[in-house]
Amino acid sequence: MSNMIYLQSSDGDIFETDAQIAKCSGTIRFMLEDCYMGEYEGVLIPLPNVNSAILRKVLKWADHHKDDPVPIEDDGHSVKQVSVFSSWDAEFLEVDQGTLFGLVQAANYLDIQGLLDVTCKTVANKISGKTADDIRNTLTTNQNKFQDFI
Amino acid sequence: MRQSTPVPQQKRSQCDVTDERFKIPFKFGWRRELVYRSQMADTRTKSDKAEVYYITPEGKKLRTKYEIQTHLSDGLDVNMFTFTKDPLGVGAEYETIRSAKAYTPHTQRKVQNFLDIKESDASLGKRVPKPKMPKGNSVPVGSNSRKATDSSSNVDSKAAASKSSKLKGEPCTIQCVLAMGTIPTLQCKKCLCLFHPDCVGLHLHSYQGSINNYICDNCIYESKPQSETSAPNVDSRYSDKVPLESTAKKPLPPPQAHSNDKSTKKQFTNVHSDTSSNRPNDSKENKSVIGSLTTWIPPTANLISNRYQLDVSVTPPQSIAMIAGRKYIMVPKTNLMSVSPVGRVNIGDNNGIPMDYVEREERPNQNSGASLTTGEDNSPSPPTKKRKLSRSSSMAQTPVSSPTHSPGAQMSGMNFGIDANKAKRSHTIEPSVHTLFASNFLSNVSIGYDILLHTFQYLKVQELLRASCVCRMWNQVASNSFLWRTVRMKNSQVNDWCGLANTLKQNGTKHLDLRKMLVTTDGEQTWQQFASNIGKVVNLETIDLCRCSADVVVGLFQSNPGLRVLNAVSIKGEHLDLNNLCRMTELKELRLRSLSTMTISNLKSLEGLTHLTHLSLTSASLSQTESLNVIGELENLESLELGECQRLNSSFTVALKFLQKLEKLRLEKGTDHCCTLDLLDAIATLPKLTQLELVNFDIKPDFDNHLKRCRNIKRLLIIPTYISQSATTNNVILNGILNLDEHLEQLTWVVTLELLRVTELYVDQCDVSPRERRQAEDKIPVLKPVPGLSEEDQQTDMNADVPQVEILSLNKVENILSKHLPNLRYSILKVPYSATWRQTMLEM
Repeated sequence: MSNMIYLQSSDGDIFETDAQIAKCSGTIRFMLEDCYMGEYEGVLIPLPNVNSAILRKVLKWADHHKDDPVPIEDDGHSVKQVSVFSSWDAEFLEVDQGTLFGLVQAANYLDIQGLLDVTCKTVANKISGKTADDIRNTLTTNQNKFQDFI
Repeated sequence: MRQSTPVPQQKRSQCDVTDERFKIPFKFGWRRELVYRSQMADTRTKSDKAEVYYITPEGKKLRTKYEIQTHLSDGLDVNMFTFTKDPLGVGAEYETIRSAKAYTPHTQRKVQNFLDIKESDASLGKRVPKPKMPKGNSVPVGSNSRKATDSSSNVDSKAAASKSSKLKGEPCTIQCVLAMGTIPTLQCKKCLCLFHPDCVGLHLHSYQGSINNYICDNCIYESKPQSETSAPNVDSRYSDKVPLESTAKKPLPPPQAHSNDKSTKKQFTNVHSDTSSNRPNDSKENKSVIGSLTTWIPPTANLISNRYQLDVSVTPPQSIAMIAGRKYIMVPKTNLMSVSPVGRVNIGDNNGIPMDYVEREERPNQNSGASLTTGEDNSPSPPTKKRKLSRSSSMAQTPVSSPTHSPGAQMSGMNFGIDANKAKRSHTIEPSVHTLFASNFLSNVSIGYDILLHTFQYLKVQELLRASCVCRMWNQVASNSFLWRTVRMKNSQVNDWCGLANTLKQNGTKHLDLRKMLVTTDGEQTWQQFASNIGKVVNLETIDLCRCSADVVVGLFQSNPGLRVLNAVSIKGEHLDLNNLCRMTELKELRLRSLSTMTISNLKSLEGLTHLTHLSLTSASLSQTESLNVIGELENLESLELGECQRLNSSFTVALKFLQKLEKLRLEKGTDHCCTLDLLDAIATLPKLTQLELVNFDIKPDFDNHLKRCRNIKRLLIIPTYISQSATTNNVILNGILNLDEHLEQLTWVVTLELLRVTELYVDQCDVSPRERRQAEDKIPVLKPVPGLSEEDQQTDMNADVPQVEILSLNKVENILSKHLPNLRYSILKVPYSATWRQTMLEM
C-alpha cells in the first residue's frame, strides 16, 4: 500500500514522497499521525524552513535509509564514534559547506535523528584536529563578519 | 540587610536636582528626557513611575550611567548626570518632560524622526532601506487589491466600506456601523487602541493568527510617514513586516514557534485543535475561495500584492483545505517562516498533481521555482513562472525582501554564530543577508546553539577545548555540562593532569574513561601527576582505568572516596592491597583484573562496601580463601564474578548462600579442588539468580544431577576444560542441560578448538573410510549412551568400531538440543582455550 504525501519546500516546490519515508522525520510523523489520524493519503505538508535543494537531498537520504532499524534511545553515555559512516553517507555528504549546514538545519527542524547524527559528525570532523584559527578559517570565509561574534 | 537597603534609596531621593553640576552636560549638547509612565500617574507618586533618558549630542538615547560612561567627552564626568526622576529645570530646550500616555502624535513623530536621523548618521552604515516594490509594480498593487475586492466581495467590500466610512486610525467603539453592539477586541500592539476586526478589514479567520501582532493603520502611518499612503499597504499591518523596517529601533522578537522542535510541535498541536473543530466549514469555504484565486491572478501580479490578497481575504489560521480533491494544510502568512502563498497557488495550477521529486532531480538546482511551473502552459495562470522569476530577480535588486522567501535568510539560520558566505548562494547583496540574519537573530542563534551542542558531542576533549577558543558562543556551548558528563581519553594523551583535573571539576564530570589512553614512555611521571590531581575531581562517580600499576588503583581508594564505579581491568603488577578500599563507602561497582594472576590482600576491606552491587575479581588468585567469606556480607550484591576458583571450598558456598539478591554469577577456573558440586547446590538456593557462567570448569560425573536442581537458572554459559575425559564431560553436560527442561532459556556452550582438533585426529585414526568421503565437520566425543539420542540411533552406532564413545557432529548435538528443548535459544561456540576467559554470555 503506497501512502503518497506531498511536501512543500520554502520555495513552494512540491515533492511527492512515500509517507513511510517521510516519517523518518519526527516533525512530519507527528503531523501525519496527530493531525490526520493516520489518514494522510495525498496530504500536503508545508516545510517552510527547508528549501528545495535541501529537501531534495533530505528525501534522497531518507529514501536510502528507509529500512534502517529504529535507533535505540541514546542515554548520552554511549561512545560517540566520529568516524563511523556508511560509505553511502560519506559520499552523500560530500557537499559544500552551505549545503551541509542546510542539511544540519533541516535535520534539526525535521527531527531526523539519523541525518542529524551523520551531518553533525561531518561537521565535527571538520572541527577536529584543527586549531581555533583553522576552525575560523574553515567555517567562515568572511573574517570581518566573524569578528562580530568573537 | 533590612537596615542597609533603605539607605541608598534615601540618598537617591535626597539628590539635589538643582545642583549646578547637573547642568554642565547641557552645555555640551546633551539633552535629557523625563517620561512619566501613564497608567500609574494617577495612583502613585509621579517620582516613582517615571523614566529618565539622556540623549547624547550625537542623538543616542542612554538609559543608564554605565551607558553614559562610554559616551563621555572631555570635561564631562558621570557624576554630572542624574537619573533622579525629577525635572532639572533647565528649560524645555534641554529637557523634555512628558507623560507616556499624553504625548501627542506630533511629539511622537518628532522622536521617530529624530531616531531616523540617528540611524542614518550613527555608525549603522548597514541599515537597509525599507523594502520597496520593484518599479512599475506599485500600480498593480492597487489594481490587484481592487480585483480581489471584486472577486471575494463578501469580505473585502466590508473592509473597504469601513475604511471609507471611518476616519483612518480612529479606535472603534461599541457604536461602529460594521460591528454594532460588539466590544472591540483587536488591540494594536503599538498604541493599544482597540478595534473591531471587521472595521479594519481583517477577516474573522485571518486575523486570529495575527491578533497579537496587529498594528493599526495609524501607527503604521506614523512609523513611516514618508511612505506612499495612497494605496493602503495592508501588508505592513502585520508586525513581521514593520519591525523589519525598524529593526534598529526595536529588536524583533524571533518567531518562537521555530526556535526549536518542541515548540514547532506545539504549533502543530494547534493546527490539530483548529482543524478538528473547524474542519467542515473551513474546507468548504476555502475550496471555493482558492478556486477563484487561481484563475484571476494577473500577469503583472507581484509577490507582495499576492501576499496581501491571500493574507487578508483567503487564509484562515491553520486549517485544512480541499483542493482538487486533496487535503492541504493552510498556514497563515503571518509569521516569518511560513509558506509562500505563491506555492499554494501553484497547487491549483497543478490541478493537484504535484511532481515527483525524483523526476525533478535532473533539473538545475536553484531554479526550482521556475521548473515547477513547466508543463503548465495551458493552465489559466501562465504568469506563475514569470512571477517566480521576478521574485528572485527582485530579491537580487532590492536589498530587503521578505525573509520567508529568501534562501539567504534560510542559510543564515545555520551559521553557528559565524556569518558565513551565504550571500553568494542567495544572490543577494551582503547587507541584505546581514539584515535578514539579524532579523531572525535569536531564533538563528538558538537553533545554532542546539546543533553546535549536538556536533560537539562527537569531539574529543582536546578538540572540545580547542573549539572553545573559537569564539565566545562556542566557548559557552563547549562548557555545557552535557558534553562533559562523560570524558573519554581514548587515543589522547594527557600532558597536564593538574589542568585537566581542574577542567573536569569545573565542568562537573561524572565519568572519566581512560581506556586506551596514550601514555608516554615515561608513564611513571604521568601517573604520579594523575594520582596527585585526580582527587580534586570530587564529583567523579565513575572511572575506567587503562593499563596502569596497582599503585594507581590503590591511590584512587584514598583520593576519590566518592567513586561509585571503579573499573581497573588491566592492572600491571602482581599484588593488590585493598587495605584502603573500605573508605569507598559509596562504591557500587568494582571490577579489578590484572594482566596476569595477581594476589589480593586485605580482602576484608570489602566488608564495609554495603552498597556494592557488582563485584568482579577475576584473575585474582585469592590467596586467603578463607577471607572470601567476606563476600557473604555484601548483601546487596547482584552480580559477582570470581576468577581462579581452584581452591573454592565449602566455606565459600556457605557465604554464597547469603547473597539472596544475586542475579548473575560468573566463576572461572573451577579446576582441581574446586567444590563444583557444592557450589551448584548453593546456587540452587539463590532465588534471584538467573544467569550462571561457568568458565573453564572441570565437569565431573554427577555434575548433571546437581545442575538439575538449579531450576532458577535461565541463562547458562558453560565452558568445560576438556583436559581429560572429554567424552564423559560432554555426556554429563548434555544430560544436565536436557534435565533443566524448559527452565533454561538461553545456553552458550563453548567447545575449545583444541577439543575439536583432538577429536579430528581421533577420527582419522579410527575411520577407515577414505578421507574425502568424510564430511569436514566439527565433531565432539560423547560418552555413550548419548543423552537425548533415540534408541535406534544408538543402536546403529553400536556397530561402530569404538563402542564406548560416540562421535557426534556439532550439528547433531544441536539437533538433539532443539528436539528436546524446542524453546531453548542456544549457540555452540568454538573458541581457543586461551580466549575462553574473555567469553561472556551471548545476547540472543
